[in-house]
Amino acid sequence: MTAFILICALLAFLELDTTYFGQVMVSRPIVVGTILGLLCGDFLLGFKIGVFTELIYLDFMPIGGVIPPSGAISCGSAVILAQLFGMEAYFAFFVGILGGFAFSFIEKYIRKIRTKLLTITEQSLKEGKDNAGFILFQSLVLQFLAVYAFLLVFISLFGALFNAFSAHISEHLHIAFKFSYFVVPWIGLAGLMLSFSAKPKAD
Amino acid sequence: MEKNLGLVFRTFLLQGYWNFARLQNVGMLYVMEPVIKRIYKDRPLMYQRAKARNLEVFNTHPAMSGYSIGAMIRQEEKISTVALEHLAEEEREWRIIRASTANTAASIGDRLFWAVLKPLSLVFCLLIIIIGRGGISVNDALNGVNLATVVLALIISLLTYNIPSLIVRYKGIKDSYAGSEDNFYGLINLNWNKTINFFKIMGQILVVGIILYAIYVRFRGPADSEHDSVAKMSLIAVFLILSVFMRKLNIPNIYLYIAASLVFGLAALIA
Repeated sequence: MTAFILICALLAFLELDTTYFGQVMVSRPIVVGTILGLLCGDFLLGFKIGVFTELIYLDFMPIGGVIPPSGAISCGSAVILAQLFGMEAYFAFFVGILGGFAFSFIEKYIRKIRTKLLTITEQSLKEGKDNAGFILFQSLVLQFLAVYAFLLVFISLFGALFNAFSAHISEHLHIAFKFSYFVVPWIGLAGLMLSFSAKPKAD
Repeated sequence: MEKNLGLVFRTFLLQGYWNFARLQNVGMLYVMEPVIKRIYKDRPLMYQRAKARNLEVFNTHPAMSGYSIGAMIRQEEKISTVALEHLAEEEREWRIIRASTANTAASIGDRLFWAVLKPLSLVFCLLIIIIGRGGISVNDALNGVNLATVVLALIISLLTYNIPSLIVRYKGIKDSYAGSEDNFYGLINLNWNKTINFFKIMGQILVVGIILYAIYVRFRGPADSEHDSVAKMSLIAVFLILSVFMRKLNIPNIYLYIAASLVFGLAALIA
């Protein structure tokens, strides 16, 4: 339980790099997967889930106001579910993808709240009541807490559901998800190749 | 001008208060705060006015933000020297510079960093894994690679993205501060299209190589059974074609995976 709480905190911290702090790519699934895998006892599974996640998330680019599903949350949730809750990697990967999509809705909501607070924030900045560094720090802390709360709830929920129903999952369903997991790198590699083929527009 | 490295560090927080109304405005004020503090040290009203100005809408690619920052610092210094009657005119100029450099830098940054360098860094990572495992397919390589190789692959991958990112952040501030309208505040000092095309061609060649090698290894390697091998190869071929097709339709590949999981899952439940 302590490991789960601490690892979720680390994941929430790394997720800040996706948009809010750094963007030095430590939130990339290959990095997140390996770090979490290492902490959970199987770096290779973490790295593999990271590569798979990264390959099929390539099409999403955080351009302008676009909020893509979070690769860090997808990959991190999958690694935690697979290693701390005993979920098979092919199921965990699918649940992780759902987590990434679910969080993009929450992210949109957080940004809307931030937008609503903008007038007050700007006023306090103009009047010199706060400095921009403090406002950014507050924003990062709130973002961290939102991601952390989401991770704790989402992973606990799906972990508990899996433990309750895993015995009833048919062998056919295992094979089905193994198959779809098997094709991920191929889908991803084709996408990777095509991502380099688009001609650039003129500056 | 302020120490470039300090400003570069501040650009890492540019998106710290991202919002739908004015996008990176608070982050931009954070970057510009030491600059306007220095420029308007003994002029509180002008300082307040500069803060309000810097809180206006701003959006660019974070790694390319230097190309706006340098030009804005220079224009801010110009504003601080003009007479009051010319203030509005110089502020209008400041807004034009801010918007034009930010938009152009965003467009270049999205294509260079998101669309090319990020996938290319993944390609390097995969190559190191394949080489580290003695040249076997990606899927098989991922099942037996050692920690040292993974760490090396991650370091190379991170450096592939971050070295150009850091250089552009630093050089962007320097070039745009020294630049003018003639060289679009340093933005045309480098042939971005040529650079992007070079990385794209490199990426394409490497990925085609990885795919062909992976297919070759699958055919050459020992199969579970002949029937199994044919089934797997057919499945791979179908998904490679579907993936290309989805891409042409501008549908992200992740939906292909989700659809495959749901269709296979449904078939399993019916069976």
